Amino acid sequence: MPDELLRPTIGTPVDLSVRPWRLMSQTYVAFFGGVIASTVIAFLNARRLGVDAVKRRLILLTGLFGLVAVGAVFVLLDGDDDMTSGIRVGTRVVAVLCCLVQLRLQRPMDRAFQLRGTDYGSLWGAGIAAAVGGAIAELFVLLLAARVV
Amino acid sequence: MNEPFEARLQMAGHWLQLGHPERTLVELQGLTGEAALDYRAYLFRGAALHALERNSEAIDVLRAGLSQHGPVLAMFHVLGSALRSDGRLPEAEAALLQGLSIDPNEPDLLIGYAHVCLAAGQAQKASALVERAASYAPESAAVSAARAQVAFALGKDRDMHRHSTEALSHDPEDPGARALHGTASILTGDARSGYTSLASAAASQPGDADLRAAAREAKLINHPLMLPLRPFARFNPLVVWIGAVAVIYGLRAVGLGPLSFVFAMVWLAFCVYSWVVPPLVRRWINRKWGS
Repeated sequence: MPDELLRPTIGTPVDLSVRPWRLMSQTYVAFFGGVIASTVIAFLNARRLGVDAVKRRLILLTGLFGLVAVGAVFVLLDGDDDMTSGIRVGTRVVAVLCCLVQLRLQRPMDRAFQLRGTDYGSLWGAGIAAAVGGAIAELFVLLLAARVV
Repeated sequence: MNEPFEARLQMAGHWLQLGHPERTLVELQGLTGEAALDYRAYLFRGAALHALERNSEAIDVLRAGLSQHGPVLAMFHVLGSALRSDGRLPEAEAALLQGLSIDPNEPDLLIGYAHVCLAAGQAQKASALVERAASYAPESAAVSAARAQVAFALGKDRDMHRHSTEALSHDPEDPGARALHGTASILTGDARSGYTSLASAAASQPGDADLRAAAREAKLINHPLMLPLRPFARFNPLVVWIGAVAVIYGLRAVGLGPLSFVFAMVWLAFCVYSWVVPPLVRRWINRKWGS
């Protein structure tokens, strides 16, 4: 009887020179940069960790849902001057919730990475770039959506 | 083989067991002729090089040993481990499966294969392999340690703590088990015993930079100035953030504007503290330890 457990299942070697980012550092990017920044960083990191394609697509999908939710917050609270801070907080909460889901999707491969015992990379440069770029892109998307609506 | 060579080989194995791979290599350098081609010479040299993280040299030595002596299970085990450490996971899998095709129930090879699966992110398969190893070697420290690693990979931190405690009870001196126990303790919120375990593991493996760094981080978490930041270590920082934002806006929504403002200021001070203090404490600890 062939032994299922002893069948090869590992297809690709891991590139030890690739340095993923700490999951917790990504939360700062989500908080300051919003949904788009969080999704870009989570997607890039998932590739570095070797997360499979299905989960990487789920990360993108989460980002898309998040962006729709941010749009909804924007539409619901827009037009009222007192609510601009409400929009700021609301979009941040959505980004953070989105980020939690994206972290959950990366976690198994992050644990595998930790067991391999190599070092993380620094998120400072990419994180700040994503936070600034993401925030600008999000604003642009929302303004465009507001014009269309 | 004559007596001095046999004694030298045994000494080489002895140093390896004691965690001094560099001395193993020195002993093996003294071997000549037939003794230098003994299968143990290949095995010990390969294992010593692997322990010193000179994995590509280890792989060459072990492959040469296997082609010289045919299948030796222990060599497959170390070869698999060296290939895994080098990131060559499919080759590591092939080496271990080759060994397992000779003895499918060899616990060390099963655990070695489980480690390769863990490195590839296949935690479920790793778990099944470790359980198979456990059915052939139920009382082994290696099985408990591997179970702890599987639990870590699956995100089950409490199980990891249980299994690493079990591994320690088999061999309280084992640095690997201590390191696992330290990590598990920190993950389950017991920073003090986490530091104790990691520090003793680092002390018994002075060459291991990763362990040293982990012990240093644990020391940082235990510093009195870090006490206010425990919620960040214990819970997800995002959850703490959401909680704070909810309180600030909750208070404002029920008409307690000034109180909300005071809370927001306290929260801001706390955030600044959380950004400024850890790097300072880290620098101080590093200076004391000498990085």
